[in-house]
Amino acid sequence: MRRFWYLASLARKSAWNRRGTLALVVLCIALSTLLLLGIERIRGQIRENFVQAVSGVDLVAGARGGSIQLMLYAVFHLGGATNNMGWESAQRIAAHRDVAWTIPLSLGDSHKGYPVVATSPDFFGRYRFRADRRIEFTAGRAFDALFDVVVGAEVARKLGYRPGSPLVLSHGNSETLLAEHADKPFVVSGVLAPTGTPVDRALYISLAAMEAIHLDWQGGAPVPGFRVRADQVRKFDLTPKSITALLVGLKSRSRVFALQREIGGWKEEALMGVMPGVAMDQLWRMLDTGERALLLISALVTLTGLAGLASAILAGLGERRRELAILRSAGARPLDILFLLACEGVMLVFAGIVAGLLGLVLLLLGIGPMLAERYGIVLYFSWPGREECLLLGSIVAAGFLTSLIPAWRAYRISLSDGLTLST
Amino acid sequence: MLVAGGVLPETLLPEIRRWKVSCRVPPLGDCFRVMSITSSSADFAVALRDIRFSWPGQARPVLDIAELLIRPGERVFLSGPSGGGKSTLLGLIAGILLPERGSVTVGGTALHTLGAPARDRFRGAEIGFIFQQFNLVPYLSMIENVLIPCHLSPRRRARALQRADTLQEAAAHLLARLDLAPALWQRPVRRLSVGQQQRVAAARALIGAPPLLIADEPSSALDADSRDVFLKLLLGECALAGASLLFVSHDAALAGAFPTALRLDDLNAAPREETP
Repeated sequence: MRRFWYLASLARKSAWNRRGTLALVVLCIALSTLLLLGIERIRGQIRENFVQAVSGVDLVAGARGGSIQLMLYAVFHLGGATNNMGWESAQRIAAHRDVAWTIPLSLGDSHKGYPVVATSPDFFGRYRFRADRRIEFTAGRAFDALFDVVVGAEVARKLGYRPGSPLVLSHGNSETLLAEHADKPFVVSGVLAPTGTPVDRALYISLAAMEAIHLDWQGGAPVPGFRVRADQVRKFDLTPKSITALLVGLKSRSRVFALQREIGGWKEEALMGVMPGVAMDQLWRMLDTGERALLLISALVTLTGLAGLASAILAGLGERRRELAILRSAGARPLDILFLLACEGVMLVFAGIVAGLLGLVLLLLGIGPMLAERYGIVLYFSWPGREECLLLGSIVAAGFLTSLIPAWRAYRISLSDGLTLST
Repeated sequence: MLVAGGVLPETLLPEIRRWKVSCRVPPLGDCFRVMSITSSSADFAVALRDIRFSWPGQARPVLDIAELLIRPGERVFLSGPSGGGKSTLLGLIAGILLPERGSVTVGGTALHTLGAPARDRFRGAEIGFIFQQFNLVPYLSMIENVLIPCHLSPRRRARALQRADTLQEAAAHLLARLDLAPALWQRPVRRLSVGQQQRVAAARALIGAPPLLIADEPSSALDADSRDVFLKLLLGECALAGASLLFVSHDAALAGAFPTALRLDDLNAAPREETP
């Protein structure tokens, strides 16, 4: 045991003696560790942001169709409109004995490319993302007046909106479509804090407002000769006829399958209930291939770093033959030489990993706030999780195996050189 | 015990060779040595008998030695031209190499019967080495260099601690006796003169009192003055420690300082490679 400690201290001193050369190797390994862990962490964070773009919702109800399409449209506001579900059905679900709360969502309009979502004021209080985080206002408050609009963080930042800013919604999702609801301008009542979810890219109005701006529209175009002025809309019934989807929270999660079956079996309207978690996981798996490619690339970078380690130690072996022969003459076995060199390699790998971790922490502290503010991607410092420990472990294991290459070479050298010191 | 000149039968040659060895030693040693032919190898610091060694893939042997004996405490000068198999011979005595046939007994231990790890352990415990040049591990301090054998061999460590309270003290004691002032001890070993480096190497070979010291051309990188100082110190320390010394050099002029001087060419029956 004492012998191994001695050899380890020799390895440390030897490495320190050549620190100029080896610093580059350590830097290399540090960078690959940083890359590997950084990508893994960002990947995990993006996954979390994605899969938990909506949380706390037990069921998303909508017209029967593809479940992924419904999720894409209702949560991410992507893809084409699905069929709507009737307001009566939504009311009926809301009144169901197992249901605690519902949030209706109605989509279709946009503003400068950003989707407009009509919902109830409950949305701001009820909506949860990433475990249990709630929506917050950085300025203003929820819509109150009919033509109030609440804008997401990115919308506000990109378009320069603050409470009081006037804006006009466009009909449909396309930016090129020029049909505007110019006769019924909206006023920004509040700006939301960044969330890292699609909420940042959306504008929120009330269901009544959505109804009001479409009073004089039919089939995607204004009805000719029929105009309802903004000050007249209140005379009409602004109860929606239909909505896009209904977010449902249950009193008890255990009832989710029963309600899902019940909704799916209704004769009155062809509906379905989608469990967000399941659908999101399915979606993520489709998108994950790209992330995995990134991880693969950073693994290759790590291998490059380790190859650098092996070649740096191998290159140094030539001038260390004397040193090895001296140790041999003093009773070191060839296996001791193997241990010495492997030890040195593993120490360098450890130094690299520690430097990489430090770099990662500094980076997170440095750019973390900026990422959180602008993109809602919260890269908080945390101890490495299971996946990251696995990654670190595999770097160490790969580093050890790589160190065996020069160690084996030194072993062969010490066997063949014996005590002869080649000059 | 005298060998007359003239033609001798071929069969007598090994016998003669052995005698030639004897002829170079003083009369007392001579008698002892001849008696030893029949005595046990265990009585000697080094006893090589009927050794034959050739490198793998080479038909001609490098070494073919009928007998080489070094008594305990004897200080032997072995000369031979470079490429004459000196390093190979030292490799055999150190237990790095194994002979094709014959016996290598060092300090009563038959090395040719031991496995490689046991031979490595034996070497660390019982033999001190001094090489020609660049004897020191560059990233270790002077004291650390001296203490290498104590860390690799528990026996060397134990013997060093018999004479001093700490290893540091043991190393410091030896360095001081080898004319290396404490002011030098903190200096990076690369900045020592060659003569100082060789004396550090001698201290390393001597620490933990190994019964046998092997010096492979230790003075050939030194100028005449420091060579003489080095030789005097080395021989003195060996005598004090009662260690046997096998001093190998191509410089036959040094032979005078040793009680016993041998020529490898005389011992070695293997034909030398003709260098054109």
